[in-house]
This record gives sequence, C-alpha cells and structure tokens, in this order.
Amino acid sequence: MTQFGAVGALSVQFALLSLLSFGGVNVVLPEAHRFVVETNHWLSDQEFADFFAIAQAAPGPNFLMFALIGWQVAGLVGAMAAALAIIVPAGTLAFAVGGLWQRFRDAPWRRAVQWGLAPITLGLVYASGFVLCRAADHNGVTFAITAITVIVTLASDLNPLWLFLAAGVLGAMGLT
Amino acid sequence: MSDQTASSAPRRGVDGLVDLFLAFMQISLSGFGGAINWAHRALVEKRRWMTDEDFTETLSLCQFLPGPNIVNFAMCLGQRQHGLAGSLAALAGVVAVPLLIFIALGALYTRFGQIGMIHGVLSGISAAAAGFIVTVALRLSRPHRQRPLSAVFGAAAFLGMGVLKLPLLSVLAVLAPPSIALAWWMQARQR
Repeated sequence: MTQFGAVGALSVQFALLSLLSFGGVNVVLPEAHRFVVETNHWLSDQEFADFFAIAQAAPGPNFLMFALIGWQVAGLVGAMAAALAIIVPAGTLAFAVGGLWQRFRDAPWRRAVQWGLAPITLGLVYASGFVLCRAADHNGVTFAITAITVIVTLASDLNPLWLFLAAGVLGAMGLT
Repeated sequence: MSDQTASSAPRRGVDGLVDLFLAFMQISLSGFGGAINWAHRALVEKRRWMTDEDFTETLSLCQFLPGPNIVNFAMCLGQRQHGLAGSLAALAGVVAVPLLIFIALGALYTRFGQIGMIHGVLSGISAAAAGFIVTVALRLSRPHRQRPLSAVFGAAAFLGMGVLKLPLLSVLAVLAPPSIALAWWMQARQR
C-alpha cells in the first residue's frame, strides 16, 4: 500500500471506530489492534503496547494514542489524519445531539440502549486488557509488573503513575 | 436557562472563546486516567460555568454518545456558550497542545524507542499500563454484579474481540440488538 493509501485506510477505519466507541476509546482498542497490528502489520505488538503506555503517561487525553499510531504509519500527516478521524465523527454527533438531550434523556429507549450496550462495552474493555497484556507481557518480570499493578491499583488509590515510574526503573535496569 | 443564579455567565465574544480554549486546554493537559475529575474542578468549582447538576447531566450525555468523553464535553459546553465557534474553540483547547506533545513523543520514539535502555523502560511501563486497564475493567464491573443475564453479552463480546479477533462491527451487529432488547424487557418488567 502506498503511504497515501495507508493514510486513507487508517482514516476511514478510525472514523468508524470514533462512532463505535461507546464508553470511550478503551472500548475500541482490540479493533484498532486487529487492524493495525494483525491485518496491516503497521505496528508490532510491542509498539502497540508502548503507544498505549505513552498515551497513558503523557500529559494529554488518552485517545491521542491514535495519533501515535498515525505517526508510526505516515509521520506528521498520519498523526494529524488519525487524530481528526477519531475526533470529527463523534464530535459532530455530540454537536448535533447536544441540544436535544433534554428531550430524549428520560425516554425508555434511551435507557434500554444504555443498559443494553453497557455489558458489551465492558466485555470490550476486558478484551482491551487481554490484548494489551498479551502484547506487553513477554516474560516473567513483565507479567509480574502487570499483576502487581492490578493488585495495587485495585486495593489503593495510589496514582498509577508511581507504578509506571517503578516499572520504568525496572526496565532501565534491564530486567524487563 | 434558569441556572444563571448558581453559575456565572461566560464572557462574550472573542474573550469567551479564549476562555473556552484555555479551560479545555488546562483540563486536557492535567490529570491522569480520564480528564473528568479535572473537568469538574475547572468548570464547576473554579469557573462556575456549570452547576453540579448541569455537569452531571452533560457528562451522562457525553458518556452515552460514542467518542472520547472529553471531546464530547467540549463540543456540548462550547456550543451552549458560543455556538459552533465555541465548540471549535473548546475542541482546539482539548487537542492542539497535547497533539503537539504527542507528535514530539512520536518523533522521539521513532528515534530512540528501540535503543537498549529506552526500550527496556517502555517495556516496563507498558506492562504496568496493561495492568491498569485490567483494573479499569474490574472497577467498571461492580455495578453489573446484579445482572447475570447481561453478563453473557459481556462474555461474548470479550470472546469475539479478545480471543476470536472478529471485526467489531460484526460483534456489535450480533450482540447489541438482543442485549438492548433484554434491557428493554427487564425495564418493562420493573415498571
């Protein structure tokens, strides 16, 4: 695929994800992984996991992980196109529907849609966790880091950035 | 709007657009793991643009709609204050500076990402970040404990995307209609 073709395909796919990301972008990570890692081989598993980590740790919203993917595929143009693709469709919908919320907020169909989608989106967040663990945990130490992070963040309100820092130090020591 | 007494009116014209841009830039850049707590602090407590109730209300709309919550929030509040120009100013606040930061990080990654120590650091952090999203999923599960039937749909979504790697569109097309129908039916039974 030419670089132009890649940017086009990426934009179309991310625009679709924008409209399917009920509950935020964590829900569409498995689909993004399928598309960019498995189907198109634009990123390796480790790069996908790295971009997720950078997006979590860096100042700025997590959905900009998609800009990092775009950067990897086609540089500056790719980053801009990916960011626009993930933002514009959902943003346009929010703009269009924002003023109507009062009218359908209490409608029975609205609640049925919300309650019907909720378990599915939750299953998709678990799938995100599964896909990222498989991408990031390639030995005993990384597996232990993941397990300890789950236990500590579940049991306390500790800012996860401290765990990221500790994990980064272990990595700098060559243990990961 | 009737909530003018509890919240203070935004400034008019270009000043108002600049305010929106700056407020959303601050929200977007601060905070970890979801900007929503910071949004409440910036918009309700500090600037008093929204009442508590208003905020909760707008947030539930933004969570109902697809897309990044913070983008939806910027579009809705921007529109309410200054129409399309307001939405675009707020959206620019969310995206512009963080996107520059992310592009810089992308460039650094391309240059140094595979070098020994940096590679190790990222590999450690990505293992921790993968653990954090598992925690997010576990926390989100708590309200669902009372609904064993709907858990079947969650399990099917997990299997379809995580294990079988099916296309998301197909997974949603198969699972969403019966799951929504079930929710509708349970709701009707409660009434």
